[in-house]
Amino acid sequence: MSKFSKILRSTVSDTQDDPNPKHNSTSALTDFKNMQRAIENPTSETMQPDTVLQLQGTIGNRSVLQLLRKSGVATLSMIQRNDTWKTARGRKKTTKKKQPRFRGIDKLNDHFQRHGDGDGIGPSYSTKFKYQSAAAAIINGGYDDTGSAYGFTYYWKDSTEQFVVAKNGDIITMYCPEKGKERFYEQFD
Amino acid sequence: MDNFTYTCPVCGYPGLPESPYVYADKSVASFEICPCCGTEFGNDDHETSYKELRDKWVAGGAIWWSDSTPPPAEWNGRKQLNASGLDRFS
Repeated sequence: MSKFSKILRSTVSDTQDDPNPKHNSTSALTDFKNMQRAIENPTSETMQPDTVLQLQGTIGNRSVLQLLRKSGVATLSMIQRNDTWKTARGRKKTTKKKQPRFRGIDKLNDHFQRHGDGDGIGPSYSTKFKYQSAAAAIINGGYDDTGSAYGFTYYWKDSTEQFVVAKNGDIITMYCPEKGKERFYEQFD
Repeated sequence: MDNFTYTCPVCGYPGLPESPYVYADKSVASFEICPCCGTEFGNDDHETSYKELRDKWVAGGAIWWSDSTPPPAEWNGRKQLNASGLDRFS
């Protein structure tokens, strides 16, 4: 029996006399079996996110990390983000897509201070994060026209007359130019 | 990231983390906002001269613009303008 199994068994036996019926339910037994399988044979099949989270609470982070390294399926940060992952044998992978953001909070603050009211033309935003999300939504397909030049990518949205500038996946600015779409076209002159 | 800073051509603030323009011919703007005078390069200066923007900033009291970036200690807008030499163009 591995040292992890011993820890698991001792932890479970401590709770066997627990008067709380939830702790002695069938699901608890299933959880225990899942954890035991993961400890004895850490693979992509046994190291599912729910099981790993339960193991974290039972045998501790360091031990879970050792098992994860053995199984080679994921990093702890992936689990803490509650993702699923791809195994070395090519199973499913679901990771959160990185959302475009301003390159720093100061830049977001300044651009929100400047354009958060919609420049008197377009939509206004109550918070800087809503302003940032609106720009990200345009970059993520919510645009009507786009083009790149000199490392910058420019986006235009007709309905709101918003102009977004991005570079290397980061938002540089979003505002409503006085000149309208002409300003967008001028980027490529 | 380098530690170079750039000077705002409107108010003379010497701490811009990025150049207002990628190329000297002003063809590609950085869309950086000067925390001192609030000028957004590529937007505000697109059809307005630096002198006009500077005069407007001075007429407004030459006050610090950014709410999130604090001014340097004992900062004074007019002194900054004098030190940069840009006041000669106002």
